[in-house]
Amino acid sequence: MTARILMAGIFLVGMWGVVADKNMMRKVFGLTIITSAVVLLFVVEGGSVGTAAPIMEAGVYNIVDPVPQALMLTAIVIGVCVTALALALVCRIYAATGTLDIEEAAKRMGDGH
Amino acid sequence: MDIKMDISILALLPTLLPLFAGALILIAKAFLNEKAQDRTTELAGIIGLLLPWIPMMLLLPRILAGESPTLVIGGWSYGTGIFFKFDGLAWALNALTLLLCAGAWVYSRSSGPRGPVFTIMFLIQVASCCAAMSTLDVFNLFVCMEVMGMTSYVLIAQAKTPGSYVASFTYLMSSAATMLLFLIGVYGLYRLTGALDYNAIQQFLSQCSVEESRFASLCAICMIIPIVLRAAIMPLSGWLLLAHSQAPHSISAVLSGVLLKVPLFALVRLLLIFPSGGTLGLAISFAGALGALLAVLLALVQSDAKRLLAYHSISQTGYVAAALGAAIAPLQGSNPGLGLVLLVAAYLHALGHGIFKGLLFLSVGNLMDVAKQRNVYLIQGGVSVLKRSGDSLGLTGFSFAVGALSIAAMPPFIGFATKGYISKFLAENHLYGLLAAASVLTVASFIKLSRIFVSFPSSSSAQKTESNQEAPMRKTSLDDDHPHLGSGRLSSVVGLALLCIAGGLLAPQLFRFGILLFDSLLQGSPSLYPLSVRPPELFVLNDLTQTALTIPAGLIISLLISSKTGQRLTHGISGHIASFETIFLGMGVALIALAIQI
Repeated sequence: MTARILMAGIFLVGMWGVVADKNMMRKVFGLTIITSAVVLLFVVEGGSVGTAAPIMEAGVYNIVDPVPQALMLTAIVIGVCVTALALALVCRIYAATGTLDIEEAAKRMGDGH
Repeated sequence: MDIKMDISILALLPTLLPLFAGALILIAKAFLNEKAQDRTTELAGIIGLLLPWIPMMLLLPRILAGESPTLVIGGWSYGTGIFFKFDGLAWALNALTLLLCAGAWVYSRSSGPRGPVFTIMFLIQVASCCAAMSTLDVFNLFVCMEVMGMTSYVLIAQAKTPGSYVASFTYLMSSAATMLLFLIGVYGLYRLTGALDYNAIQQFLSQCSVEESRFASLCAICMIIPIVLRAAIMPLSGWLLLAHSQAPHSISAVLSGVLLKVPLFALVRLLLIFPSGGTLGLAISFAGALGALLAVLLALVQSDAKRLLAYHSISQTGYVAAALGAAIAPLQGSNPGLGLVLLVAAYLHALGHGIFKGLLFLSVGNLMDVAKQRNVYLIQGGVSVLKRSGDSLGLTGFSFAVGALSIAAMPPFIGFATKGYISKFLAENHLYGLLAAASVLTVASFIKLSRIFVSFPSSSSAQKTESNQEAPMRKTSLDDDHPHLGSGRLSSVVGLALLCIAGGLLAPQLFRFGILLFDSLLQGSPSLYPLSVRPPELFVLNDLTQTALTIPAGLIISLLISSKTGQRLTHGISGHIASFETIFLGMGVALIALAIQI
């Protein structure tokens, strides 16, 4: 239970960064933190049914559920791609507008032409 | 048996061919010169957007016969591998995707962007849309949605303007954060049922306790929110305005026509497996109808042409959501026949909206590029300006008129038929009034927008132009570097205009075809809507009179909004850009509203 409360806390911290912080870099950090919280949630859930690594060999019993771990490998890859793309966009916005503040950047962007 | 399996494998090709075409471009980019790269890009477009029609046509007879080709990718056992089901819904949405993306791609070959990176992303997006409709696994749906999202972020940024970067970043952050909510929903469902595929989850939920059913509904809400955000149903549509108005014109057309619709129809599949799906569907239906009205109210006060069209995307998607949401409960058993016709009406309007909104984005985009101006109050005499840029026959103006009449639901165009079907089947519903009011305001909004093509510069507007937008408008004199409208631009808008006309004239046939396609969704039920039953008659005096009355009402509202006082009063609203707080506040409101339903 403690682990789940901790993960909910991490999730909310990340969400605060995404929603409330005006700095685009901190928004990206917030997104990464939320992703990590969800990944941890899946891994902890998979570990609740066993303790051994899910290697299907003779003598290996009481394994963790391998499905959440397999799913999270995909989710981590997607998370990395999204973060990389977000950072690339932040670089472009900063180069074009000279600010990392999202609201200021929106004001300076003009009509796009 | 072997022949049957081979045919089922064809179900993968609409997803695999665009990916293969993307890989071809990558190889060409790595090893060939620029000229060869350009040829390979054209070839890849044909492979990725036209060839998928061959397997789809081969599979069509089986689907119309009520079969749904299924396969597990990679030969894995059922429940382990990726499970694909190519039923009527998948066929219909794949057809919509391929049709509209082909039109947008032809346009982009002429107007740009058209480089290898753009085409690769475009083709991956097509593949992910096709896959999202065929997968029957909640985690695979998450992956497809993420791929759709990531390609959208890149394609929006292809406009290479500061505005497009900000739009892409805003969409990315709001969409990626809410997709994690989807993942939490997947976690909850897996924890409850021990399964990820729809059939196993549905089987578990059909015999679970009340507490388990309530927990499943909470998981469903977590999964619905991101999908509703992608479909831009109010109050989760804040991201759309920047994204659609700042993207390249061809991508705006695809975002509006395809990317809003595919998640919505994927949601139908998902809702059908939950016992509370009907209740949640009704909430979505209400949000859609209310959004249809509010969005068109906001569209009316916009001065930016593409932002006006973006608001109409929210409004028209609201129509689709209203019909789709209302279809879930009947489809789950209370009245499958009504559910089926509502689903068909929703699909036809999604298809119609995809065509006429694509047409509107592309035709208005042609004029914006030539006039180098986006303000509807400052663009004047569009037809003559376009003539001087190579559109001597006035094809863009004609196509825009067809699109505007379609969205305003004027006969005999496709919008008249598709909105007519939705109105007929929701006539007894309390949401009908909201949709009827939205129709009148849509007419008003397009009367206002049509001025950019037909009006001529007046002395006051010319003075205003000189004082406010001197540099951009000077370029409309076309003395220096004015863009020439290529044949790709003109042929794509004319092609879509012809589809609007053909769709309107063939609406009864399309309706019957839709019934045959979606009949397989009613698992285990005999055909409830036999072919002998005729689609509702649209050309009746009462309906035509109502349609005719929307014109003077729309004209009056349009004149009021376009007057100097109207412009002054609405100026503050038109420039509003949704902040992150607003977008996530919308998410919170949607979460609470859906939670109250269960």
